[in-house]
Amino acid sequence: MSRYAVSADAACAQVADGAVLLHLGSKRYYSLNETGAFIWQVLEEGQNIADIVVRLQTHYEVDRGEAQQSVDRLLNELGDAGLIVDASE
Amino acid sequence: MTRPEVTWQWGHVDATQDGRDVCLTHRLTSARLRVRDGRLRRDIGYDEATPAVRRELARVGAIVRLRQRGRYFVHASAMVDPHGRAWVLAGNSGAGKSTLAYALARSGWSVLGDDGVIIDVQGGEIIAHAWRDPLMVSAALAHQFHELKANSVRALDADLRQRVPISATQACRGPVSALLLLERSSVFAITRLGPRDCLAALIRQSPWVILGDGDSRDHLDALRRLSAIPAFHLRHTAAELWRIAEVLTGILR
Repeated sequence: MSRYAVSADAACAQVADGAVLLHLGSKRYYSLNETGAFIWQVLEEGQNIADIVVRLQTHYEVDRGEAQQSVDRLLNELGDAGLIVDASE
Repeated sequence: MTRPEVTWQWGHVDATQDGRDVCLTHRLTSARLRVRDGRLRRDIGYDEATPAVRRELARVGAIVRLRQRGRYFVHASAMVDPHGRAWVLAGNSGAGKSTLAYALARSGWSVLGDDGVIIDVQGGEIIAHAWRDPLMVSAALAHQFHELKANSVRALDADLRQRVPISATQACRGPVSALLLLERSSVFAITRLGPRDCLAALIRQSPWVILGDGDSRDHLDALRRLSAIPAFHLRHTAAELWRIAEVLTGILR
């Protein structure tokens, strides 16, 4: 089951219109819009990718393909930034 | 013998950090100051250093020490309005923070800090505390303030930005009620700043948040709370700042 975990170097501040992430190792910060902040929140709960897609689909009433694309794109960016790590079983 | 790794830098100060022990070294003179057990301790070369070098080390040392106590330095001006509420004026160097601070001081506001302010969280409130640096206004703008005309030739020689020191009523603290992010522009515009953009701006003005030490998460949380207050992006030409101060003060009355 594909699953990602939040990196121990990541710190997140959720705000009303999104979130700001810090990578405490690389000393960089990143900004997430509302959708990104929602995905991050679900990631922090330890959900696998399929569950994240379903949650996004339900929350924003979008079709599965669109939700999958959004999740894949964000996870790629978060992975490249070292903010999440592969925790697949 | 190898030199210890530099963990971070601020101005001319290099810092090496081992947990809560921080060694601050002035890059140009090698004078040292340490933050240990929550106290500032003089180290090699400190006593022999010039007052300017000692001041620079002590400034950074105070920022580190306060941070360890849950009080966070933000590179911003801060003023207390006639109702006792603090306003944080953020922006990059040269954005007009000091000029607006002085314009507000002329309208009866008091100064918490010109080039910095300390914030902490008390209950549900963000409190801004004074950071005592001399208030300075750009000599190029002094002509807009008639009482400064005579002083405009007194710009400090050592100050690269050629600013004029001025005096104003000072305040000790106040609950933060608004934040203005200032930016020089060719046109005037004021827009609401969302919490996410506000937080990003605050991170840039309080870069210690990203050190990655044991205080970073609490520091980030304090900035997050500060970003939740009403915030505005103010684009202005420098000449407009004194009028903005009058308008703000008029609205509050």
